Amino acid sequence: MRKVTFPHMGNLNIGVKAFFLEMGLNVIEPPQNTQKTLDLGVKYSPEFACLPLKITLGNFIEAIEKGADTVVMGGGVGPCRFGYYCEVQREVLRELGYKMDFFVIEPEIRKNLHNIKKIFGKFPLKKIFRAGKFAWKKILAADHINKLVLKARSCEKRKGIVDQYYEDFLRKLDKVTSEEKIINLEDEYTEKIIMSMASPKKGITLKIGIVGEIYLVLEPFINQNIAKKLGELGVSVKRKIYLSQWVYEFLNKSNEHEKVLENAYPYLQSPVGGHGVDTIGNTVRYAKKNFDGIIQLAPFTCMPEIVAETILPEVSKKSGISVLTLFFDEHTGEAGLITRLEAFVDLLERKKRGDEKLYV
Amino acid sequence: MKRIAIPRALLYYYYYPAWKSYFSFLGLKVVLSPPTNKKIMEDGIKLSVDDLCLPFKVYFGHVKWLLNKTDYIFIPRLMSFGKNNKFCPKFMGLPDMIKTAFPENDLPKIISPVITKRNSFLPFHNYALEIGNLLNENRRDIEMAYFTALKKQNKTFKDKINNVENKNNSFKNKRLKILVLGHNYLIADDYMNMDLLKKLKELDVEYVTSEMLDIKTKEKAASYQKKDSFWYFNRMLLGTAYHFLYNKPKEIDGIIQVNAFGCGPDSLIKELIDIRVSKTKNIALLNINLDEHSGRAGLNTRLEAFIDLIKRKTKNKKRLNLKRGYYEKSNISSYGKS
Repeated sequence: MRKVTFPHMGNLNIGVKAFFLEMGLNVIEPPQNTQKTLDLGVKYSPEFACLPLKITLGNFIEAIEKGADTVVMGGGVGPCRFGYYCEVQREVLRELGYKMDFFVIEPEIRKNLHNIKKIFGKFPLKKIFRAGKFAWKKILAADHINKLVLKARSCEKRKGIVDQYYEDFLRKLDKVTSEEKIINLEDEYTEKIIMSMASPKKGITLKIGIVGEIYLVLEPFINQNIAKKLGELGVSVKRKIYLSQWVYEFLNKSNEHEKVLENAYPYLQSPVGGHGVDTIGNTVRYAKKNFDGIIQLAPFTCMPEIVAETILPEVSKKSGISVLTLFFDEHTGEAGLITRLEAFVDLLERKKRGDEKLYV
Repeated sequence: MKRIAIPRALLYYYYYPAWKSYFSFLGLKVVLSPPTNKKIMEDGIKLSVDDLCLPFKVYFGHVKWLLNKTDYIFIPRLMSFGKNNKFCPKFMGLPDMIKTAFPENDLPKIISPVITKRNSFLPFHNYALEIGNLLNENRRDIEMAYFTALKKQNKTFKDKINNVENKNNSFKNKRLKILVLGHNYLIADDYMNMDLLKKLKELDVEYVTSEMLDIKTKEKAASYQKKDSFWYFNRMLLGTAYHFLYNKPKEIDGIIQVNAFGCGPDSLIKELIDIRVSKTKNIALLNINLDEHSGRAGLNTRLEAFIDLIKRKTKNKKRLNLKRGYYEKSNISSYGKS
């Protein structure tokens, strides 16, 4: 029987694991992202490849050493580099002497059919549909709670309690086996988190929007858990990029993309692959909603985000919203990041208070 | 006479003959920026963000040189050459990036046709009509201009290929042959690559580039890869490399890969070629990464050393083959990776 593995990306593992278990396959989940994963990935990846390639390669190596023999990876049709990860990773893994089957899920469903047949032996459409629905419910639940957590961290009653609930929830969600229980669990934790929120403080609560490349936004290990750090500084964080949102767009089931394009049009008139146009469009949308600041996250040498980075100062100038761009690579240190975040939050606070001394 | 500016960077190195013919036909005067020099590069670096790759930074410099000299500026938005033939995202956002770098009043009117098909590297309909209307209000003239330009372009592509075939016939001397792999806008810009090709000539080495092969050969060779690369330029490069590695491995002695620092597609394609080359025995590989800090002296030394190494290797090969015949066992390819 196949032992399937897959890359980490935020809470993706919960959904994918549920799907394969439901399909009756053995799943070898790669260990949580750690420094060791990153080091392994960096060691064997091309030098100038972007960070997600490196860390997912690290995931695969760790999982294969744990005994996996089938790798499932996402594909794409460009122009973002993500669509070509599969080729490089497969060749690098072969070069290292690992023997495994490497399956790529392409956005064109037609191309996947023979892969599905190979993985499952036959073509159980009904089963796939049921398992997919179940996994989807889990992903949705995780995203809903995540959304709440981003807001709740800024005004929690006891420090750290929200994160504690969030971790509990994810751990329990991973083990749940029926749809009904997912709903109950989600309800339970929604209530718990809401109860742990104090009424908003008297002073200023800043609102910051997070935009940027999806892997960096979703994966807390790589972005040094920036959302938590902001929450501890008393900032209410919002973002538009969620795993479920991404899948919706992938399946053309959402009008989010049109909205983004429309808002970005004065600055960027065409999509540039990846989440480049989303970065611009969402910045404009947040500016319209009177957010205090924007933080753009991207891996070093990410092409779409470089285009966005070039254009963001113009957006900032015209709409008056402050933007902080953070590029991450394997050398990014935590201390430097904290200092920059604190300075940025400080600046926003003063700006909001109308501290005129700042502008003299 | 109205004037139109074309920066001498990026796509200039692919489609300039067509553009020139097209705009001249419509009665516009084409103003080109000079070949890249120190001033242009420094201006470009100042105007752009750090993370951009060198050719794009230089593009900004060229645009700066052209300011206030013309009525229009031509900056095409390169989206794709049809399905599955895409480009680096920076080409897609180029006009928008240029707009943000300069004050609004400084820039002349930007003509930026959206390129989505293989033969649409000209501002065919909308834009041409817009410029054309100012001059001769004749739709037929515009279409004529388009087809003359297209012909001209195809002819230049063919000329480049034919030239090499002639060279190949006379190529029975003992000179080394090197494949120079890199985007055209890098290896044709002598300032950016620090006279790489001239230096090769000086060292008495023959070279081939991707442009000297016809597209069909490249497409065919590129399909050796399981999943086709969806970046058009990079697929051509990959095809060139595979063509020489698998179809004609005896024709070349070494490969020089020229990349810009931070080039996205190259970073992955380069790795694939590296892996392939390290498995062959007779082909050496040199990787050159260009950025604004690259020094001329360092590059020259590396090139000379590389050529020396190949020369010695070919000499050794003959000797070993004749005398002891253990060449096949010895792992000379370990020199391969730089």
